[in-house]
Amino acid sequence: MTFRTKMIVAGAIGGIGLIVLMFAIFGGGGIRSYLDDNFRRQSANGNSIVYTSTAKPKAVYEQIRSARSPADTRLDPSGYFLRYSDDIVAITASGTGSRIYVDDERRGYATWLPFVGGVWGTGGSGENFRGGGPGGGK
Amino acid sequence: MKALVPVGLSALLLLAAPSAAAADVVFDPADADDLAATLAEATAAQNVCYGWDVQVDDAIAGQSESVGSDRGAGTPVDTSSCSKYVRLDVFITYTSESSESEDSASWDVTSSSGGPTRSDMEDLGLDWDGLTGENPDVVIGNAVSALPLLAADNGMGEGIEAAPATGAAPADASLTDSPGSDFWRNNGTGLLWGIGLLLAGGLFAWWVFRSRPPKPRAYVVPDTVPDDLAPPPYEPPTAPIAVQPDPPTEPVPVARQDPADTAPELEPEATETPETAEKLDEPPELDPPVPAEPDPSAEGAAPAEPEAPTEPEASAETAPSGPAKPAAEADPAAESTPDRPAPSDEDAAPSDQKNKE
Repeated sequence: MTFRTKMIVAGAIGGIGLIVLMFAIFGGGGIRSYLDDNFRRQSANGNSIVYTSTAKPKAVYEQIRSARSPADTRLDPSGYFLRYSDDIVAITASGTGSRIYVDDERRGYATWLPFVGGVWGTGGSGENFRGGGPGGGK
Repeated sequence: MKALVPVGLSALLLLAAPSAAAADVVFDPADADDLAATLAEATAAQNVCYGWDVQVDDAIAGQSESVGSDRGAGTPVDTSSCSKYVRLDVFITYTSESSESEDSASWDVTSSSGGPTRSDMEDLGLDWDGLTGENPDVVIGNAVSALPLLAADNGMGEGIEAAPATGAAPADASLTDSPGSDFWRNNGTGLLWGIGLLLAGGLFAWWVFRSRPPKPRAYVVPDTVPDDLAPPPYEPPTAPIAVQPDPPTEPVPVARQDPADTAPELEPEATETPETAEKLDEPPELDPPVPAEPDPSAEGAAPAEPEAPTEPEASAETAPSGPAKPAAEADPAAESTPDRPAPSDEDAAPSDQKNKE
């Protein structure tokens, strides 16, 4: 391998790294911008926005989760609840499609307290699944 | 005494009756009851039976089991009476501290025909590694709660819509545990890869530069010539080099020489000096042709002039008639060498060419 070829390889590696770096920094926005870009807005009330989709809740959940990874996920027979740094997203069935709610974290926690209460914070009735069990892991 | 017998039997029966919640190896009793109640609501809405069955094999405590369903904690799902059912089966093995084997766990989804499968559960992206962690009940509870979602997605039942709370939240309701930065969670891997590739490219380029074989040393040409290498100063020759003038245009038998012999003397590069160059620029002074000795037969005639001063064009070659006739007959070149052939064009060519030069 000649000196020129080696330098081209080094430049290619650095160029790919630069592209990946730029894409990581500027490539994606937050969860709100993603929902705005990919779903139809139904209503809004301040920071609380409702979107709709013709896809089933499970498909919508997988789409959002793969695009913007949540910090935590709570599953309930009524829907999927995703926690982000500043927002809470709820996906629930609506006819044959889905309805997607996004709220800021304080309002979202109060709105979905029967489902996430006791899991992501204090209050509410559900203090379930907060640890315990055999605890025999090593 | 007889009255005490039924009471005692009842007490024994109560003690002997399995208290599923109390004996649950995975969930706290309240958690198991809440989970069973959640499943009951889903069963009522979807007409699908749900349940869980967790087998725990502990090296110290032995084998134990946690079961529950929409019929309650401790009660397994009724697969015989329910036409549609979905159950989560989990197997956890805890090894002893002294064992080299690690804790292990496996899980599966059992359902009636057309129901969700393990693949559907995997799509949810749950952290199944947590089954052997400190809080397996969180993972199992989340998975069991998702069974109605999977059933609705597979068409076993209608989806259950969650209604947002409209009333005021309790005063003590507040989020805990910061979820961390969304930016770093979503872009951290890309950032690390980008920085890593940039560093790798830079290090590779640096290594290539360092390992490059040294280039052959280039010769440095100084601006000035060292004194010891300088040639002696040019000294013009004291006597100018004689320049052999070109032969006359007309063939002169006496001055005629072989062109090969005269060529070196006429090389301007070899003989050119500042003085000679001036001479070369000027028209060469041609020596007048040496007249041959007049033929005795031509004595008495007028001496042959090279050119007629009055009529240069009327030479003997072009005007043989008239008074020039005698001059032509007295041409020394023709008369002096009667035994030699007249110079041909080829012989005259070098001289003509040199004159042109």
